[in-house]
Amino acid sequence: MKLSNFFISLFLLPLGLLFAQDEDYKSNFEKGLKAYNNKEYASAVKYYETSLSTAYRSPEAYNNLGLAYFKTADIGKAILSFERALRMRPGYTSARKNLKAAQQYIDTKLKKSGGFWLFSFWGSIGLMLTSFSWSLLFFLLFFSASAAFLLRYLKLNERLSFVGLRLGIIFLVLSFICFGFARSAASAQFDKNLAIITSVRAGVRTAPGLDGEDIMIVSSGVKVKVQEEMGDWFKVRLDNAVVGWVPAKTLEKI
Amino acid sequence: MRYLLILTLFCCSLAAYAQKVVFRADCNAKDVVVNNPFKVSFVLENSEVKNISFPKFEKDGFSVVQGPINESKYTNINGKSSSSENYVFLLAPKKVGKLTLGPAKVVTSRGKVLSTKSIEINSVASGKNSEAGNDNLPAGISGKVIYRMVPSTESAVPGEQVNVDMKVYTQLDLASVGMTLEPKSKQVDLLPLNYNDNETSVDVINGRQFASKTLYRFSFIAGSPGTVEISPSKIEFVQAYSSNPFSRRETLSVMSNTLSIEVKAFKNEPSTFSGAVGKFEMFATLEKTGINSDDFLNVVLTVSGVGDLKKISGIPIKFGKKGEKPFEIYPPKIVENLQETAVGKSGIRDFIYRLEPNAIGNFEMRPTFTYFDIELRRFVTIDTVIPVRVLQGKKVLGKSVPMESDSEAQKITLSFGEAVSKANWRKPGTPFYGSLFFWILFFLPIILFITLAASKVYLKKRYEIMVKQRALTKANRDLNENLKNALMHLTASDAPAFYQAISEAFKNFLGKKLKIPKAEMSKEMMAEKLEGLVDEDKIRSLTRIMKICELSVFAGQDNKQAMQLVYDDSTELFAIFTKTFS
Repeated sequence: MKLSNFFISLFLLPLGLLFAQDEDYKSNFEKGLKAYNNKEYASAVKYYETSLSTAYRSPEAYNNLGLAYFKTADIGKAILSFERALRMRPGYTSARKNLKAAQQYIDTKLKKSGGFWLFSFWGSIGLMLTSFSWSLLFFLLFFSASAAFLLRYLKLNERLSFVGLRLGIIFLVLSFICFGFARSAASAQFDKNLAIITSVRAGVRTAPGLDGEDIMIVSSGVKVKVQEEMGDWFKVRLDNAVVGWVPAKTLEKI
Repeated sequence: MRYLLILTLFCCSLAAYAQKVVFRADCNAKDVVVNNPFKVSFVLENSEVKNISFPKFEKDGFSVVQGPINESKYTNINGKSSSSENYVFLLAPKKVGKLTLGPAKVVTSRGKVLSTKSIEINSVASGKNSEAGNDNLPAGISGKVIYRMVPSTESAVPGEQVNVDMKVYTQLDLASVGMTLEPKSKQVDLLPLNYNDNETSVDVINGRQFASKTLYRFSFIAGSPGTVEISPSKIEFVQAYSSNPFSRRETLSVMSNTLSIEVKAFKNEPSTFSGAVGKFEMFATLEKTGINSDDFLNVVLTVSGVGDLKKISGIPIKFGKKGEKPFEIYPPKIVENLQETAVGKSGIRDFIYRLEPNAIGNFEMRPTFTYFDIELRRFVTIDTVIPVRVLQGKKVLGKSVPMESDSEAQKITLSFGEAVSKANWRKPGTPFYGSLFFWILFFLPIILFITLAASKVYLKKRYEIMVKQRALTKANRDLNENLKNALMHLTASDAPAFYQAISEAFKNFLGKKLKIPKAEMSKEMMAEKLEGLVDEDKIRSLTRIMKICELSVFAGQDNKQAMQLVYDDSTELFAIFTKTFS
């Protein structure tokens, strides 16, 4: 082989691998769908997992993976997959519906404690769009407010100045509401400390290690917030405000 | 090599350090005849003694017969090292009654302070040799060697494992002790256990103190209710009559007692009783708690403990409501690891059940194991609740059994959607919210406004300066014109016109600079306005020139030299004022 040919091959190889990978995840998704429709759920899980192990992600693939996991009776992994789908696209109604359906099967029902209704209402509105969409809306309103204030500042005429001030205030208030939603959606979409219990049972203990006393047992599918990590143990906060330690292997971060 | 040695020593020291440090007191007696010795050992494990203090023996009612005898041990087995330091005392109680030997304290080489527990000793009065003549031993030693069978329980239940210890009590030094007649029973099979009693104990029989040792241990499993009779056993030993090796020695034998153990029937036997008698634990292991209707569920129920595990043929598994049969339960596969140890039969038995679902839903599986506890002398039931879920798979089951709680079943109302056939793929990127670009866009209008405001202020100032400079230029131009006229009048020796020109020059210049209206223009006003802007002597010089100019109107001031002086002073003053107002 000529040296020039060798270098050309060397250059084309990663490009080829890239395309090969591109084809791979799509074909595995198709295979997963086919297996699911043939009621071969374990195979469907395998194909979807393989398709999602590449650099590409898809909310639809996560949604289908969740359905396949549910069919194999793995509630924890099913809920984790639906959560991942919603993390990619908070307004994905199918995934939200499937998540709610899967959550019915969680054995440990935790009653949410403390939260003020307005915060949860705020959070639910924030999840209607992605943080990116909220951010764009914020900038649209923010720049409009800036333009309106500019009209007021330039004092081109009395009428424009009057309208500019009022429009500027309205746009500014609306823009900061959108900013709040963007922040709330971003924390839901990109919070790396949210996790799902994936093992059948996990004992929440008072201290990391087997010396700690059991506070309560939680079943698979329960959502927790990781507050601290210490070796093979995670300190988590449950919805009912219980804080304790669980083995790292019993949960998976969303 | 040297480094290897150091490393090995370091590892050994680390291993030694890892061992738990224990300080304890061992005693070989509970009952002791007054003034008879018994042994107490204070043992420190896995550390070195820095300072040790023993109990106040005399104060506690004991006399020290011998001790302390110090022994140190170090062992290393497969890299695991341990050490111990023993302080052995032979003590004798000085009075009859219950005596308490206080705790000993030790300070280890690492500065740790440890103490032992107190030891309770029952000191009894000395009694007579009432056993003498009851055995076939010669006079003088009769009653000094007693051989007994000691059962682990006087009354057993069917299936209970009973251990019988062959124990010899002696006040003599015995040699070559061996069993010549084994105990036998018609009702049960007596099996010898591998038992080694390394320690000699102290026992009191009828007020006489003996050194005792268990020579053998037999075991049997109690059968049906009734009495188990065990025939006497016989041992032989060699008795030396002096310490001289050539002295007379005699082989003697001694018989044990006959043993009767009553086996009583169970009372109120529960229906779940597995037949196991002993001390057990049970736990369940599941691969998963949720399956679909196509799958089987494998449940492993493990029973471990001491007792006859073979008696357990299976563990009943129940589900929720009575009569429900959500699973077909197949006979278990049994995996066992049983042992015969010094305490008897023990081990682990796994019952691997395979469950096939008959219905879909959520169920509560309740494996129940009941055994007779030999320590508590009553039935003990171990049961656990395991939630199991069966989902609809390919196989359509004939019926659907609701969950244990019907209300729970009704809660499942939401259904799942269909799988999606088209997917949008993208590489996960960094979030736009909070990124550098986001903040740049956020601050952009603010920066623009600040820039705009700053530009406006700058332009305004610049305009003012320009206006000011323009005014200054005009004033300077007028001044030059006036001074030029004055110079022309000076050359022409036209005094009134000269002074008029000088006066006009000052009034015009300072009027513009100091913004004095023409109606208020006077030398006093000019002096007042200039105060603080220029030196006092310059103000005085201005007032003087203005006064000369005023006087020239009324009196002729045609002295050319004086006019020249006024002109010079005026130009000098104008130079200063121009500099001041520029």
